[in-house]
This record gives sequence, structure tokens and C-alpha cells, in this order.
Amino acid sequence: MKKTHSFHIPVMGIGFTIDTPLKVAQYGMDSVISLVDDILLEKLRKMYSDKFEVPYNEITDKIDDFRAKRITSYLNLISDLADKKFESLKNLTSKKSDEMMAYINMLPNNSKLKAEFKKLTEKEFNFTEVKNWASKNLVMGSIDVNIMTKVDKDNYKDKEQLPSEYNDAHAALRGFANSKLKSSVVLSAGMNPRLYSYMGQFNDFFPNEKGEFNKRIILKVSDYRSALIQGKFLAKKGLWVSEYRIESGLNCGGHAFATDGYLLGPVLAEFKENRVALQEAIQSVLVQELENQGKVIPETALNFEITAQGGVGTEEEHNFLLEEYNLDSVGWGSPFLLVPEATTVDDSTLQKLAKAEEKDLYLSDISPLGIPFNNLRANTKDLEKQKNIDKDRPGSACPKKFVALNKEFKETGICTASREYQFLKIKALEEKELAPDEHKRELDKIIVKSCTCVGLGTSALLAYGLDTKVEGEGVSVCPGPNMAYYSKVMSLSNMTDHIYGRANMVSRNDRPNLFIKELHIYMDYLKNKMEDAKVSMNRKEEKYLKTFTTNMKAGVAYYQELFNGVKNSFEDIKSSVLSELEKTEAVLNQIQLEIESLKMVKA
Amino acid sequence: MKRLVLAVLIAIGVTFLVTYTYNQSQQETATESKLLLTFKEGWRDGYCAGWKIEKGENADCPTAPEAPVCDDCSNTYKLGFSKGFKAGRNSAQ
Repeated sequence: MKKTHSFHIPVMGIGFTIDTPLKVAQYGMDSVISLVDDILLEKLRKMYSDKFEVPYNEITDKIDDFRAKRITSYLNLISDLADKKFESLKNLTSKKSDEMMAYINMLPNNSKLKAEFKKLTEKEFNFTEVKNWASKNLVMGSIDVNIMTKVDKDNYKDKEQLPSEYNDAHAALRGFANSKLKSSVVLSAGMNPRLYSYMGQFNDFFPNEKGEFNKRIILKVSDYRSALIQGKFLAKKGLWVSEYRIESGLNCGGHAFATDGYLLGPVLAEFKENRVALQEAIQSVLVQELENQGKVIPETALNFEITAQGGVGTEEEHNFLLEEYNLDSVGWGSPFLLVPEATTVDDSTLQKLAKAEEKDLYLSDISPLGIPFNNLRANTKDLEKQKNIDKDRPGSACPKKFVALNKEFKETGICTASREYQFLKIKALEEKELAPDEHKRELDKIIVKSCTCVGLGTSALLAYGLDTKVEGEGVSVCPGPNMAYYSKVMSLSNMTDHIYGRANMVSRNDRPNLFIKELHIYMDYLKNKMEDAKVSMNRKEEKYLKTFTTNMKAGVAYYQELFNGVKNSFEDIKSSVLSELEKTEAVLNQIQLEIESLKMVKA
Repeated sequence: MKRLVLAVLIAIGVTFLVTYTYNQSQQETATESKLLLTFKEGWRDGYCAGWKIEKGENADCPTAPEAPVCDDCSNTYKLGFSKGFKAGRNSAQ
């Protein structure tokens, strides 16, 4: 299926894209809703039901399977409302034809649709003709959903553990599967075999004879190997991955997966090179399994899309990725946080984001999941956390418990950002009677965790003036490093004009190329790891550092070849990029020597 | 007696039907009159839309020229839009 736009809006936080499809799907733009927080979804369902006068029956937590039911109901509502908006856009009866014109005007310059529309209206703008044409040709954007596969907390009723189908990610998946949406689920943050097996229970994920799906699977990955392993695993369940969404390991918003030092360019090149092999390898496994299960086997070969995201910031980079790596779409995330017509961010956070510079954006340790997390310095959730620390009561009250996954102290799981966990952990630390410096280091590691599962949704509540009695007013926000180069609130058409090169919304002229920016972030990450290794390094860490450095060197070599050979792109930055690569190569050689010398010292 | 009941029922039915149809047509007329905005308004909106299709969604529309006098035109928004659209595009090109 040919996409209307060559970009998509990825999931952002928990609440920032919670209703994005309702804002942009009528313009043919694909976007993604996070399914982490069913409490937030239910609050928004009530709000939108009131606003659009749709009957609303609350789904309380007393109702069986409430999480899945809340998700289904919310998605159905968004689907209905988005459909209505799209129908109204195509149906030119209202006085204003602005919406339809906005749809056309925001399309890429090379869009066939745009050319057709211009031709159609060349002699006259005939309302009936335009309406008929729109109804046949305009396509709505996809209302996709995101499930963090490992945020899959066990659930209990009357102190009895419920079956795994009631775990958070399982229930979210069921909520989506039972909805009327014909769209995709993005599976992110690694592999959850039990969840993947559970997907096989829903017919909507299986193809028909024509190779079509009611519900598609998108796998978010940071390297080829992970795509192959997960794609094959799903195929063994009879499930096909319709899109591999490749995200830069570190140059992205929110949780960052540094992989083993694989840089975006070489990863994309590997996908390009192995696209056919990947398709064939996985399809053969799939067909065999569909046969075993007695399911329909598609008559034609199944296809998948390859898309990329993470740090893309100019039209030149956007087009380069599409063309060089044959991508089907490019994800634009963080800059969209400054587009209120697309995302939901409260005013105060919006202003903070607009003002953010490099020094305000950093890779933090605040995530209770223990994964590096791109964070905005001095966000109000972190300020709230600091207040608790200052009062000598570190930790959060943990009202939502979506990441209460740590079982160190409690079988039912506790969140590492919670007061309960931090109290127990600090007590255990005190019993160790460590030297003051070491004690401080360990203490900081405990109390740094922030209550992000609440904070990442609060902005939406504030933006809509909804009750935050339980959640508090602290907002966590997780833009990628690219945010530093945008400093004004933008309209949706400003943003699409920027993406398609009709306007420039980057406020500075020192923004590094996306590959080079990513390289800097990886180098900083590696240097930090080296500092840790100087304090202590075991065999596993040594191996990790060696592999990481080797992969980085291979990445640098790839970029040297790429930039030396590239034609018609990046002409103005070529020489500075090549000199930057040369310097980085020298630093990496130095780091390799350091690892060897560290090894000798330790030996 | 049966005839009387039948006559009353028919009378009620006819009254209902007439009232319903009248209300419907009143509603439609009201909606139509809302939609049937003037030729001039259509001209102005169409001119801007035509300008933007050439110059882009973010372009500032210039003030539309005076709507043409159109003796044989019906005074409808749509017609005004259509003519304005063409004029806007031509000016922008």
C-alpha cells in the first residue's frame, strides 16, 4: 500500500500521542497511541464522550478484564471520531473546504494525489467532482498502537495471581485485538515470548488469501539480528511482521537501547542488503506453520515495510534515508512535541521544550526499568522527586504501578521508583556499611529513579484540565537530543512544510548531521562506560566494551565510505563530516588500547 | 363506528405525515440556507484556497480582488468559490 505521507509520528511517552490520531489521521498521517496507561485512556474516553456527546459508561476496576475493555472502548471511540472527521473532510458540504485544502497542501511536493487534485481543479473547482474524487482517492492515516512488551506486570485479584492473559501487556494486546481498528500494533522494547505466543490466539493477526491483515504487526528494533530472531519467532507462531521499524539505539526519545555499538547507517545498510533474504527466510517458516495450524495460506508472497526513526531533522536527511536505504517511511518524533495540532503537551512543558538546548537534554538513569532514558533536565516530575529526597522521604507513592516489576522484596512486584522499594533498598544498603563514597554512589543509584509511568501521562491531564488528584502535577518528558535544534511552537503545516523542504523550522545553523550526532552520543556513552570500567571491570564488561568499540569502528569506516561516495546530498558538510570521522576513528583506536591496558592491570 | 375509528386514524396518520414532512423540509431549508452562503464569500474563500494550492498552506493570502459581477450566476457560495479558486491560482502562478 502506498502511503499518503513519507513520514509517520511514532509513539511519544505515554500521554503525548494518546489522541494524536484524532488530530492528524484525517490528513492521511499515521501515528501511534501508547497502551501503557488504561487509567489515562479511560479519563480521555470520558472527556471525548462528553465533548462529542457519545454515551459513556464507566469501566471501573471492579469489572472483569477492565484493562482490556478500557483499551478496546477507547480505541473504538477514537476510530469512530477519526472516521467522522475524515468523512466530514471529504464531504465538501460545509461552508469551509479548508480541511480538504489542508490535506492537499500538506502532501509532499511529489505526491501523485496532489498532482491529480491540481489537474482536476485546473479549469474549475467543481464541488461534486472534487467530492467524488476525494471519496475515491483520499486515505486516512493509520491509528496504530504501541505495546512495550516487557511492561507486562502480573496482576492479582483477592491476593490470587491471575492467569498470564491478564498481565498488563497481554491485556493491552487483547484490548487492541478486540477493537474495530484495522491498523498495526508496534511491539517495542525487546522480545516477550509469552506475549508473542499469545498473539496467535487472535485471528485478526493472520493473513487472508490475498495476504491482507486486519491487524498488522510492527516490530521496533535497533539491529538486524534482533529483527531476524524476533521475526522468525513470530513466524513460528504463524505471525507475520509487516514492518520493521528501525530506531537509532541512542539518538531517540525516551528509552534508549545502546545495542552493541551498532550505528544507524550500517544497520539500515544491512537491512537493505538482506531485505530479500529476510523476507524469504521468514516467509518459509511462516507458511510451514500456517499449514500446521490449518490456517489460510496467502496466494502471493507477503511483503514487509522497512522504516527508520531517531534524530532525523531536515528534508535532506529525510530524503536521503528514503532513497539510500529504500525506506517506506521515516519517523519524526521529538519535533512534533512542539506541534499542538498533533501532540498533547501542557503549556508549561511546551515552553520548556521550546527553550531546551543540548545541556538540558541528557541520557539519564531515571527510568525504573533500568534502561537509559533520554530526559529533559529539571522536568517537574524530577523536581517533585528531589523535593521528596530533600524531605528525607525518597521515592514515589506509586499510584499506578505499571512498572512494579521488581521482585527483590515482594513476590507481587514493586516499582524501583516507589517509596516502598527505595526504603527497603536503602535499609539493605545501610546494613552493608560501605565506605562513605561508595555508599553515596550506591544511594544515588537508588534514589535517581523517577515515577515515569505516571509522569509521562500527566501532561495530557494538565493539557485538558482533567483531575490530577491521584497523579499529582509532576510531568516527565522524554524528548530525543534533536529537540535542542527546534525552538518554537509550530503548526502542523509548518511541520509538514519543514519535513518536505518547503520551510525551515530548525532555529540554529549548527545542527549536526543525524549520523554524526548519533556518533557523538555513542562516543559519550562509550566514554562513560570506560570511566566505570576504570573503577571495576569483569570479563563480561570487557567483552562488551571490546565488541562495542569494534562495531563503532566498523560504523565509522562505513560512514567514511558513504560520505566519500555520496552524490547530490550533504555536499556542504562533506569535508567537515569526513574530518570528524577521522578524529573519531583515532579516539576509538585509543579506547581500544585503553581496554587492553585496563585488562592487563586487572589481570 | 368502525368507519369513524378508521376515519380518525387516517386523519391522525395524514396529519402526522404532513407535519413530519413539513418539519423535515423546514430543517433542510434551514441547513441549506446556512450552506448557501453568498457568492462573494465563496469568491473570497476560493481565491485564498487557490492561492494556497500554488503557494503552500502557510502562505498568507492576499486580499481577494472584488468579486466579478456575474449576471447569469446564481448567488451561491459554491459558484463563488469555484470562480475565486481559479482566480487565486492564476494570480499565484
